[in-house]
Amino acid sequence: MNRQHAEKELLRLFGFEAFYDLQWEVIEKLLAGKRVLFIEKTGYGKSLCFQFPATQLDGLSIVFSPLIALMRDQVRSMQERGIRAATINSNQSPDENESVISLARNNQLDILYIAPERMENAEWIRAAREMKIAMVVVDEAHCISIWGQSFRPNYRRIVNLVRLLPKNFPVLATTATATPRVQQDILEQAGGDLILVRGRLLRPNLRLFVVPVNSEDEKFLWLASHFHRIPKTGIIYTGTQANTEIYANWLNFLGFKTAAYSGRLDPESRKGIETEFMNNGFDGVVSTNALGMGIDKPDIRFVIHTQVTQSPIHYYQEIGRAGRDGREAFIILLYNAAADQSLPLSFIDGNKPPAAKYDKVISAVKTALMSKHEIVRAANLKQTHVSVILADLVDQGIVNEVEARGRKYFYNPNAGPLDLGLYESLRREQYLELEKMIAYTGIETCRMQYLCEYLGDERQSPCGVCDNDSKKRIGVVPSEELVEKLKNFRETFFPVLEVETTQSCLVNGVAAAYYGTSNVGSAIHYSKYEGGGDFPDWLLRLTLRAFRKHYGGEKFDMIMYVPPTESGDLVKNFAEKVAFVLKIPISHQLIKTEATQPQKVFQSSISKRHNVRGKFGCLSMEEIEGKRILIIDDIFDSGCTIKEAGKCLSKCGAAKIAPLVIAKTLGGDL
Amino acid sequence: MSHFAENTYWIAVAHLPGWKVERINRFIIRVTHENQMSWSDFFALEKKVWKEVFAFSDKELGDLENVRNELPKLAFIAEQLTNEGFIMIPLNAQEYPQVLKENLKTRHAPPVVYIKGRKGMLQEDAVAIVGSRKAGQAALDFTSKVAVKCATESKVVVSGFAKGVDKQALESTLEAGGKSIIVLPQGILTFQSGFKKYYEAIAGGDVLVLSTFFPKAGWDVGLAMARNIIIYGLAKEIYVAESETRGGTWEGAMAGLKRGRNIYTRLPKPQEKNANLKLLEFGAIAVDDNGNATAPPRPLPARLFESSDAVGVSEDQGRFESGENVRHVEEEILRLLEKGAYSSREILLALNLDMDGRKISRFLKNHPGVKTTGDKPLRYTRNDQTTLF
Repeated sequence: MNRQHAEKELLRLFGFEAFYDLQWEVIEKLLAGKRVLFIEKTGYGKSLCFQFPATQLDGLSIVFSPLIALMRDQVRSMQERGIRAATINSNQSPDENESVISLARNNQLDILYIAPERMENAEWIRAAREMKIAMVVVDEAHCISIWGQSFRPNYRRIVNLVRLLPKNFPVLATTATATPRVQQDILEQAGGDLILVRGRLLRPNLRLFVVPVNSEDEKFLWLASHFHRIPKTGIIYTGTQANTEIYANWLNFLGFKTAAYSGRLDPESRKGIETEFMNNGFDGVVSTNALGMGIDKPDIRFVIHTQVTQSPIHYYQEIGRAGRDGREAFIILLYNAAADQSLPLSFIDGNKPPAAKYDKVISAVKTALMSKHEIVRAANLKQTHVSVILADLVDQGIVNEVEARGRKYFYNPNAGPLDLGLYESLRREQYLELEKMIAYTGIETCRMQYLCEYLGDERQSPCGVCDNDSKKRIGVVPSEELVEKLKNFRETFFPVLEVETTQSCLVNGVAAAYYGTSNVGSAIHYSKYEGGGDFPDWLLRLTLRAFRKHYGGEKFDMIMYVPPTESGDLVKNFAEKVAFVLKIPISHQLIKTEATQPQKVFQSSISKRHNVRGKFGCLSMEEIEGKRILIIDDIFDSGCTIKEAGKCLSKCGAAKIAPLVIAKTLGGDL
Repeated sequence: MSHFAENTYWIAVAHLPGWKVERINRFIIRVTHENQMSWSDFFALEKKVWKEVFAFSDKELGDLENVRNELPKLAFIAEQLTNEGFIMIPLNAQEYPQVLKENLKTRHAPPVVYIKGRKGMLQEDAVAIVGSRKAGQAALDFTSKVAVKCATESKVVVSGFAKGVDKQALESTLEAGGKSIIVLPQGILTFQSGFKKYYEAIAGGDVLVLSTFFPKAGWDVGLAMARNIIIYGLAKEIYVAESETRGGTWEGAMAGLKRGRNIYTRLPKPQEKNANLKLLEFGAIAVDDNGNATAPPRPLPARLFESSDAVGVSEDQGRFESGENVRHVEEEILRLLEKGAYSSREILLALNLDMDGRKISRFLKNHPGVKTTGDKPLRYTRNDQTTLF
């Protein structure tokens, strides 16, 4: 098929007059059964490079993409044009997915989008073996590489598949974020026969700014004085989940409409926020980097970072979500040179668990064929650690994932010794990348040029619109009024405990503070573990303020408390004081029916849940039936204890169970 | 081109539908050895080039073209195998067990071996213990003893994961701390429950699971029969615990005898009803209940008559020179045929004759004292008249 003929088809099928030259270069190769790695910026039109060939090739083209929303939107627009496109993903019902699979089996589809983790689904693999497949596309191909900013272990299977497909079978890998090193890694992993087609990564409509600040407070103050001047809507990226809540609350406190978004939210809440965001219902969404992967919004007008990213490639990827429509977008980094390096450093250092934990997992895996959950319990390690370790062990061929009523891990008796050296060099590389990101905050030349050069682009002319090129600075000018406002906010912000489930009458509760960010944590520790006696009265006052703010004038019939494991009557005494002040009767009916170990012994919520499961009981059911209960504890971590107590009280007939705790730990353990 | 990337092609080639193993092996040798081609090169050729260079028949071309279209699908199977830690060992790989090539030759050596477990076990000395699914207690005890002996001698026990002798061999070996290869009568991807059951032994390197069939193939009688030849092929020594006159054990043992292999067969108790004695008559080596060599129960038929004393008794050495003219071949054959009906192949085996099969057929057909039975293959026995002598 020549270009002229192809462009006729293009007009008929997609309504476009012509291809860009690079698009045609890629398409021509694919139609000839070649394999291509195409690196181009977001918004260029990479998708057409596989959508068009998919309509021309005989058989089904499979597109692996981690971006569910993107898949959904592309499928919808192709369907509207009469192209036989569909998607399989976890947001669809099993029935929907099943009917898509049967279409694919019966040769009634041209293009099928699936999430990379689908390759771990035995049913999909079974079905795929019966499909007539014409092309494979790997979107966001940088996820293949551990040298990139968003390595995904589940891409490993896609890479294997690509290598095992016959040589004259067309394969397209695309990405908008690849450093030369990542590019090299993708080429090598794919088996060395990918042809590289590289465009330019410069995004001329992104206006890059760096705002130096001297404290965390100044970031809040900058937002207070500048946020109203920024075109809406957009994303405020924070470094931690806890900060999403704090910043969102601050902006809402200032009168804006924002939402906090992170991986911690349940899928329903996440979807709700995404939809609202798509419809421009927020001034901004405050998020960890979890938001973005699921969003296909061309008119994001700003991206603000309250925390410097780990590397320029992380940064380019996250800011790349703005201005995909080609119109101006503001990209702002708030940076405190004195303090902001510690978080990315701790990410880098905490990336890999220590060697001893790898050994624990290996020993566990040798004894029996286990699922990840079972390994977490057998080795008593954090789930996040076990996930990382297992992914590494799989990568090194020390264990294999097998399908045996769910995914299990099979020790490989041919395995060589564990090689942690690789991760050491990875870590060193990441330190260097962080240095380059820090350097970005201090340069006086064009910022876009700096990023593009880092990404391996040919030398570009300056963008002319960043703060350095345009000589426009937007610094912090704190006013007394704003400082007062912030103080006011700090004293009235209380973390919410998200524990509502359908299985009990628990409602979301409140904590007086985060455990780690104030002196609250050390006060609790002093009483609990250093023999300091009862919790001090200022903690009581703070907790009562949190109660009032969160529950307002709500009525409770009874106060209960979580019975202790080892710290004696601290919580009981504390609850009695709360009961006295609030004039709510206290009940001592909630007990442990069996001894539990202190939750902090357990490294994962799986083990924690197991530790307390079924261990609560009520001395008298009548006393509880139909009652609205305020339940008090000192520290809220995984939430397992409160949820289990809630379950027990629900069974006993409580009408409502509302948690009130002194401190919530940061991040739980998941 | 990495070795790994060829796996999809190997699956395609190894299980070409309707092609016998020998034909596949000759095809493999032509492409990878004689033409020094990789499979990706071969499958990148056009059909007409295949025809010109390799002179394939139209049927063969059709088969190859079909399998070429299947490659993307097979890539998913190759990927699953890789991901789940199965190892594919093709005929031309270094790790391919030499013993398989030696024992089975081009005719029967499997084009691809699929394994799970410690692959080094394939290079260790292996002993096959075979026998009926319905073996009696004596056979099971024998199996156990041989398995324990193997374990103490650090030999690998090969068995077929059927009921009876096979399972006994596996269990006794593992109990004794030995090592075992399980040869599956099915594709390796359909053995989930087995992998779970023997997980620790596999992970610990004591059990290796092996299959030569299409990875998704389910259990099948045909595969179970075809599997036996692999068991014999993998082993340096073969012990028969109990055989019937037909079925896998019998066929495998007879095939082994034909190739001149040492088949150690348990000497049955007088009251036992099985075909062990018959195997001994055909040249198997008698062993006692502990698996140690013992004298045969009675002289072989060849020595029942006249000058048989001139013949060496050490039948287990299996060496006769036909030129020594001490044998009265005709009489030996007639003696044998008095006992029943035998094919020319069986006669050659039983009497360890170095003769051309067609020649002996011709001789028997023309012999007045011999008649043929209707079976296939043609069997010969004494006719009634001559038995009157």
